[in-house]
Amino acid sequence: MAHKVSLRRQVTLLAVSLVILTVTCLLAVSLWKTITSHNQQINQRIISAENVLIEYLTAKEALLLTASKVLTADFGFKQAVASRDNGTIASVLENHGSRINASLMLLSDLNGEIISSNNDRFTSDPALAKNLNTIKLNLNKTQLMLIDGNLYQLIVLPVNAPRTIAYSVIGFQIDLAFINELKRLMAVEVSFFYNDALIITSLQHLDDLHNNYFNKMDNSWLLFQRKLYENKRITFTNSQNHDYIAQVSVDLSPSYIELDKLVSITLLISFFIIGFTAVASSIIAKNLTKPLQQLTQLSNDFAQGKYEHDKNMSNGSMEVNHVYDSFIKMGQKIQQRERKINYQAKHDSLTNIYNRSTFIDMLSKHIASHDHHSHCTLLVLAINIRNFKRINDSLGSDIGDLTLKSVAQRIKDIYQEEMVMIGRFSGDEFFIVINLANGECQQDIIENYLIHLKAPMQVNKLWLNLNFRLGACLFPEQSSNAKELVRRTTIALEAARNESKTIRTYQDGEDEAYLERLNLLEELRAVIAHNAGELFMVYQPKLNLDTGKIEKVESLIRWIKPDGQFISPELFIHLAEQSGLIIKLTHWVIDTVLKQQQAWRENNIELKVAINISAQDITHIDFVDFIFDTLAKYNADPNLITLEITERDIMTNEDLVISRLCQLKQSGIQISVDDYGIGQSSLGKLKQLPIDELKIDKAFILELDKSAKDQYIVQSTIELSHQLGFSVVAEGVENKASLDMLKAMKCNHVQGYYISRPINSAQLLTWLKTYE
Amino acid sequence: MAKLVIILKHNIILEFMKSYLLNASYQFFVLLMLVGQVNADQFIVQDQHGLPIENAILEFSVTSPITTNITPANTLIMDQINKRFEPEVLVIKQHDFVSFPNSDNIRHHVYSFSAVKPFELKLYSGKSKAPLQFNNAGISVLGCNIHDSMVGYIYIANSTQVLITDKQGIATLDRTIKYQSIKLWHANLSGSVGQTKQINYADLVTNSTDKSLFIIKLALDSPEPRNTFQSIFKKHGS
Repeated sequence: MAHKVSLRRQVTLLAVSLVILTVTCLLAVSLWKTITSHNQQINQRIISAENVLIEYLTAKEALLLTASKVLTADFGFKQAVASRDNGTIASVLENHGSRINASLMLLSDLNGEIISSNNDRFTSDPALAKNLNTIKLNLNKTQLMLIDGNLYQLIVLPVNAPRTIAYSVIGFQIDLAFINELKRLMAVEVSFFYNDALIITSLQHLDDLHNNYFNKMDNSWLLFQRKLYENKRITFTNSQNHDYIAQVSVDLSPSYIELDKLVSITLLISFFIIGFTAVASSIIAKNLTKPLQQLTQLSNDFAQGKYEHDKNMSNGSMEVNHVYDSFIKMGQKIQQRERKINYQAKHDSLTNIYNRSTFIDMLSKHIASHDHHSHCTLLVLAINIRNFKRINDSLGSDIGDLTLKSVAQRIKDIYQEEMVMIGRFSGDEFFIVINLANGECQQDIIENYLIHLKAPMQVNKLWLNLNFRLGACLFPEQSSNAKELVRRTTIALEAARNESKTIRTYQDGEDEAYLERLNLLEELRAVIAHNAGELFMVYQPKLNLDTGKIEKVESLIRWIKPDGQFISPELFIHLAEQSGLIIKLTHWVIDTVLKQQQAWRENNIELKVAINISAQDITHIDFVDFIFDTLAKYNADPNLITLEITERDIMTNEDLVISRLCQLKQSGIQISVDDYGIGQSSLGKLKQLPIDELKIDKAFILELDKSAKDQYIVQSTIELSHQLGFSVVAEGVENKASLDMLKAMKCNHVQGYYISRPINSAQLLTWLKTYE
Repeated sequence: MAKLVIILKHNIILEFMKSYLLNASYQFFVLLMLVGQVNADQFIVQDQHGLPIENAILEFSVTSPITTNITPANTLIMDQINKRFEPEVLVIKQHDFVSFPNSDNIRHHVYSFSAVKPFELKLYSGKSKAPLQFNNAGISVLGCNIHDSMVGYIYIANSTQVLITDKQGIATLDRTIKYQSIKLWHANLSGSVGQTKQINYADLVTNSTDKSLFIIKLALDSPEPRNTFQSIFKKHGS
């Protein structure tokens, strides 16, 4: 932005340049006008001076002519000349000369010899005689002539008696007095030149008198030169064809001084106006831009979230005030919207109670503000609506939403006094914080709360009986940190769910275990990715009771950390299921097992391998394709693969699981129901399942030989299975008695420690050899 | 007295024809006159332009026959008519008298500053003054103090044989008179007024066909301008 010109500067620049333009134009016009009129004036002066000069010389000429005529007509004078009476001649000349103040009075004979003169200088000038000889031919004319360095205006008239016997010459010297008189009359300087040489001038600067003086230039204007004098030359040609020049010169310097004064005053005024304009326009521009700055400040304030600006614009124009008002309105609207967005961001849109992050924030603020109340005890409750999904599914999501609203309202209503805050974390999970009075038993409070909560609820004319699960955690006993409190409450709720309890209070250490499990999960993720041998498969042989041969094994996963720590498969598989990592884990298992099977096949060992899969695995969209791809990869026979899935997992998404299982079964893969007998599956379902095998849970087998009830269950299960066309596997066989019993019950396969515990591939091969 | 016959040469006629003043009738008249006077020498006096000069004086220095008898002094008249001297040039012999009768009815103040005879005569109408005797040979220039334009000349000749040319510039001399040289004078002869020009007989130029015709050339000044004042201070541009 730095390179852009500010508005203020632009306005100032515009104003100043307009003024400069105007002033320049005015100055130029005024100068031009002044100079033109000045030139006209000078020309006028020169013309009038020229006229005056000629009139003056003509008047002098007339004077000379008269005097000369009178002289030459005088009979006595003629007589004196004829008789060369020099004394008389001189006296007459002097007499007539003094009448008109003539400075030159002389008489020459016909040959130019001077007979008499009023000044000896003339007689001694040889040029004069020569001049007079030529003058004779041009009598009766006044002329200008240089005699002995002085300029004369003279007239030559013949003395006729009656034929010419002599010439009289009468003249005025053009001396300083003459010149000054002319100057006085003409009001200009006058100079006389002969052959470009200056003879006399009225100018005072005698030190520097030469012809160039009149062409001198004035340099006071640095760039321009000006003539010091305006000259006009008038040429007079005398009888000898000599050119005498009278020059009138107007001294221009006074008018230059006037002109310079005018220019400097104009310039001064111009600069003043320019300066004034600069300041004035700057002030105007400042007034114009100040509101802009204020608006900018306003915008910045808005950007920082400060919307409170009710003060009015200071000294802004009407338009600017409009803009300012609009800004203020905009700020208010933005503030409203921001509040709304903020509220929505912090609150659950359905129930208008805090969302998770806001809840935690508020809780931590609450804790912080009540830190000094050391006796304050808070009860944090996580409330889960049990089977809410079912309400949603059966009654529709509209009713579901209304239900949630009603639940939220009810949660608010109970213990209004003690309620600190309430939040909704997910679809059917609410959190509340309740103040506990000293000495109150939290268990009673919770139970009381639950009673109120469970009361039948009317939702859109429907009366619903909802069941809840509660997790609880206490502040400050169990945690003093908001996040931790929420997490531990969640853990308690999770525990309630896992333990199928209605109310579950957080127990010390659970959080640490939870965190440990999280760590373990991360390790598992890394281990799967690296596949460095920490995870490996073991195989437990299944004995065919009909043939007495080992033709099947169940593959089981094991995790032994490099430090030798054995991680329980139940633990990490459970974690993997919870986190979704089970997909990758199962992929790893399938890949590893099929690879192992290929290795066995290469050793001419053909074993059916059972692989445990979870509900998440089979419902995953890529599972079937993955199985087929891996089978193709290892060129495996689908008939040698058995997938074991628990009946609980089958039931989680019954239809999808059954369709997937059918798909797999089509290819020849065998399906086995794992842990049969401890789940909730009905016998009715059993007939629909596309299964090949049933694995009776070891709970019925471990003490088969001692429990008659187990024997009945197993006996009937085996019979039922056979009736339905399933093969039966009993797991957990640990003694011969059980084995024999199962054999008698016509169980197809047995598996257990009595036959072999799960062993790795190498051990298995060895075991197989010895067993046979 | 022998007469010189002046025959006009063809080239002279051509020269005359060049002159803008001469016309055909004048030529015919001259030829007719020359044919009639066979016993006399004729002199034609021309200026530098070939124009005939009137009132030119030819004074001959006579050698034979020497006439010793002295003629008595005559009185000649220099009249003033219409503010002019009449005749303009008067030829007299030494010791002759000149009378100034003044035929005008106005006053004249005749004067001469010439060295031969300086004088001053105030002439009133009808009142004659005594004639003046001119004892010295030479030229007397006459002026009138009242009328500046009046100029007259009296030629006082030393010789017995003196001629003055007529309007055609011609003077005729008896062929019997022998002379050594001719003194020539004219009022406007170059130089000062008193100046004369001497021509020896031998130097006389004759016509190639007619030995009795002499052509004399005189250089004249143009007449002096009178009262013609000119100003050099003319207004420029007007």
